[in-house]
Amino acid sequence: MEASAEEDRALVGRLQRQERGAFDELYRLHHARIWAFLLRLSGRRDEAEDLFQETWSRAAKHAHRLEDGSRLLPWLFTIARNEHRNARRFLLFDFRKRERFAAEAPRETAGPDESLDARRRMEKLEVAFGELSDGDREVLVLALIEGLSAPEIAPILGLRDDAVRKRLSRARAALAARIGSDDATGSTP
Amino acid sequence: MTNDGARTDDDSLAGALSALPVPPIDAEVSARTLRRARGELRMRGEGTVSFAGLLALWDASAVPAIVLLTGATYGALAIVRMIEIFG
Repeated sequence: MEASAEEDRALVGRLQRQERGAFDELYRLHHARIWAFLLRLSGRRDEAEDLFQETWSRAAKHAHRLEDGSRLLPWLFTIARNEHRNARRFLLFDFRKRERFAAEAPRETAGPDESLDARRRMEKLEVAFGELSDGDREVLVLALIEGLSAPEIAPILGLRDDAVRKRLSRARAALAARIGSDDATGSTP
Repeated sequence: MTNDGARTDDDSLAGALSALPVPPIDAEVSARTLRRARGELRMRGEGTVSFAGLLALWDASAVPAIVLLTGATYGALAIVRMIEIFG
């Protein structure tokens, strides 16, 4: 996580005291990661935008009640994840397709030299990732992309540490089964 | 995540997943989100009862004028009544 515990402590204090500008600072620090998290979870820009707004409104409503020692990014991930879960609860059958963002997103790896093979592998990974269950996507994003540890993920998902490890292992296996482990890790030439 | 092999696999998979493109949020949506969230923020002192708050409410309301007018009217009527009795 980028913000240190000390920085979080200072900002939590300012949010508790409802200081002017504290919430703007929270938004400035973390909005991009919350956006990426929600977009990866939902797979749809319109849905992610709604969830993003709900997440920050809820955060604003409860920011003054943060407890001392709270870590802000996991707190925001928890709110975002709950918003996503709540939205999904109303969709018994969701036939909407996930969007492909490859064309509109700036890609550091993209360029004239990028091989067709690498691009295909990336597209395959994107499709396979989109086919995973919500629970598998959540744990993969939090553990592998956001770099959180099992004890940090546990309160976000409402699980015990060992259950997080099991779910991560299962999610990794599910992704590998869809694309083949070589493709998943990008180790094929 | 329990041995070096698993860690290497995780690192490779993390690298591949992180490379999946995520377009940035639309600037207008971001601005709207922040505006809306600011509207939900609790302002300092909101929802609490304090003596200073009650004094401020008293100052800002029409209640003092009504009380003063009522008192003055009552006093004037009392004076008239006393003049009638003792005058």
